[in-house]
Amino acid sequence: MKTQTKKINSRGQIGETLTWIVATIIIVVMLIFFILGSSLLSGTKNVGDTFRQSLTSAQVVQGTDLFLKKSLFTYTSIGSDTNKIILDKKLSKMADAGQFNLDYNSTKIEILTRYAKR
Amino acid sequence: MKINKKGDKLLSIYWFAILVIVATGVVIMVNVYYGSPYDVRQVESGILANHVANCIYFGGEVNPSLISSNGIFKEDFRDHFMNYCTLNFSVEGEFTQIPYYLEINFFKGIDSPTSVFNISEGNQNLKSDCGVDVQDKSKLSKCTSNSFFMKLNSNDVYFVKILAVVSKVNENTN
Amino acid sequence: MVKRKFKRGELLVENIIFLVLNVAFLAILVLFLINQGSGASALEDAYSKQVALTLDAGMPGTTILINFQSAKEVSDKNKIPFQDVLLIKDHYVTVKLSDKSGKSYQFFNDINVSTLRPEKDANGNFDGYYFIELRRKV
Repeated sequence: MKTQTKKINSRGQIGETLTWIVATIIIVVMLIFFILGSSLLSGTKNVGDTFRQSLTSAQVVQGTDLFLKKSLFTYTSIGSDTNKIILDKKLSKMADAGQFNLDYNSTKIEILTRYAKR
Repeated sequence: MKINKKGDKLLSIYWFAILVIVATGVVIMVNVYYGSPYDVRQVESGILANHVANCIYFGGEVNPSLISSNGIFKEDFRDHFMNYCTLNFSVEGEFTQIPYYLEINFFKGIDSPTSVFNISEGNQNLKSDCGVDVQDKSKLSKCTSNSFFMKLNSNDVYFVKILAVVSKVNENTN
Repeated sequence: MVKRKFKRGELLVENIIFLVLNVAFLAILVLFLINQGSGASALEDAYSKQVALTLDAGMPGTTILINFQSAKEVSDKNKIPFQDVLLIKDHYVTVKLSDKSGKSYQFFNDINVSTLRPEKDANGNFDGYYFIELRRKV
């Protein structure tokens, strides 16, 4: 008696399943990538001293530096030349150390121009 | 011939499972972004430091309540500093900690290392958060340290160092 | 010979249902995103801090006009009267845009907020601006 055995060809199913597994992995990886991106973007909610016009802009809108201007006004109003030189050296040192938000030399010229005559 | 659609039904279920995964991902992304509050403490500490600086030295004039013409600092200014400089650190709730700390040091001369007068107000425990070197500083207080030179009518120059610290971690972080 | 029955009608209905469900899903997702963006919570956080920092930096004699139009749209939707949206009391700024939420933020400037009122247009309706006047505390 002959028995016929039918072979079920499941190559198509396996191929289809593999495609879906790879697709799922890609989707999950992309989702993880985007979730990490959102958490990085939420870091832009830190409102610091400087204001950036857009997320990608490297430029910064400079504000004012009250402390530098107060010091420069003191420099302008000092009578003694010796003290003036010492103070100028000290302020230059502080400027080199990055302690001011504005450019030291240009702000100094601005303050001297404005207040030296008075 | 019967068309076997069992595979199709399985695919449909799987397709909706993918949609659910994507939807969950989008919801997580949205919540992560919109759920995090704005952190304004750095600006706030800067404004606090500016406020104190203007109180001490404004328009080229030192606050007359701070120091006499012969260079003697008035204790009354330290005792009533908050009133003189229109500051109020009081908080709601009995067990709520004050979220601010202020420290002002005065040095006589341009290069003097020793402070001749100092004022401190607020929660001193916050000072230790400044200068801590860790990767995630969001749960630490935000500090602003600024300094300037002021001149008295007697031509004496003083160096003023202001440290302003703002905590408020719950209102500004997740 | 076996006759094939092409059940075109059935297949088409299935495809249409599939497409409709996909479009519905996307629509719900987009609506959810739009809602979150203009959500009461995010706006309350931003406005309360903005007003608090403005008061911190303010000096006696200053008058401030703050644009609350985006907040007004949300408060109108949630049936909160516009005059109740912004409250400044005991050195806390409170912004409330819905019944279930509200955000408060403390400010340190010991100044007298002598005037706090929502502005009205020529027809007597709220125009979405708040007027604040600061005076020295006596």
